[in-house]
Amino acid sequence: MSNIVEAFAEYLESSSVATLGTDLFIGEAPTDPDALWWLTGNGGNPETKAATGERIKTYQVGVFYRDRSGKNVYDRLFALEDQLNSGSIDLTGFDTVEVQAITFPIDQDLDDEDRKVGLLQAQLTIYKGA
Amino acid sequence: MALVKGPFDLQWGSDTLAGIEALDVTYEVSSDDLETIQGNTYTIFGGHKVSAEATFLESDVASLAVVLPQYFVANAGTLSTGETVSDPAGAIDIVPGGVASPETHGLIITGAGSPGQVARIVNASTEISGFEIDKTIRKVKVKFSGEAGVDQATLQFFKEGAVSGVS
Repeated sequence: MSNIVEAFAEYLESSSVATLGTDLFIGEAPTDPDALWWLTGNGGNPETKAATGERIKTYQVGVFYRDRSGKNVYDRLFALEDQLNSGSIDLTGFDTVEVQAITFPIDQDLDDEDRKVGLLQAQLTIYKGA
Repeated sequence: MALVKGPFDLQWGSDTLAGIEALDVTYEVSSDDLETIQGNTYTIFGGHKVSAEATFLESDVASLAVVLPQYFVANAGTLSTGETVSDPAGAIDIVPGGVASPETHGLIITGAGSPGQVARIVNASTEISGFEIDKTIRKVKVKFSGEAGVDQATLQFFKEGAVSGVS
């Protein structure tokens, strides 16, 4: 079974944002290519516990984008925020309640090779049956 | 002496109920106070009434059909508004006053543990009691009302396995 970050990566791939292993990575970013995405698991919390044992749980995922162009960084993250906050998204393998961007794109700093990095925070809410 | 903890298993008759966010049980005993000329007050207890309102997180047609069978319209059946149902899951058609004798079953609430502690509302009928959209989830409330017979308990507590043939 995939974990929630892997399921989110699969969603980004299926919606043509990026390709896992090519320009989309989980946990850390390789040196190449310059333009790429990476995801980090940033914790979460149980939101609701039903009397019959089911739970609604919320996971936070950090979504980073790196590029030589600062404009590209913001544009790509801006487009992703709009995508996440429009309509209904299902994550394969999970009974998805909601996927949304909860912090909008933030321009981060330059990395060691003067590439620009931006970040947004995604929140993935799932329903887990007993 | 011990706590009775969840998660709880809920059954209405032989059907297991899932996705219940909360169960709000109300138990009422009617009473009258009588005063004597000697200055004493006596409380006389009368009828007992028990009901439990369940909030269903899982509120699709299949879930509602289990607890509201009196309003279930099967695939190929006709709704009160004239349309034909064309889905294997059927539909729920809540027509006021349309059911003369609703189904009654025990509502069995079993706590965690093996054996767990059981509370049973005897002979409970069901009725829809509310419906809300909570941000992204639709929740439906169903009220289970006890209809115990003459000389029959309204509510029972026992350990799982202590009573045979629980339904």
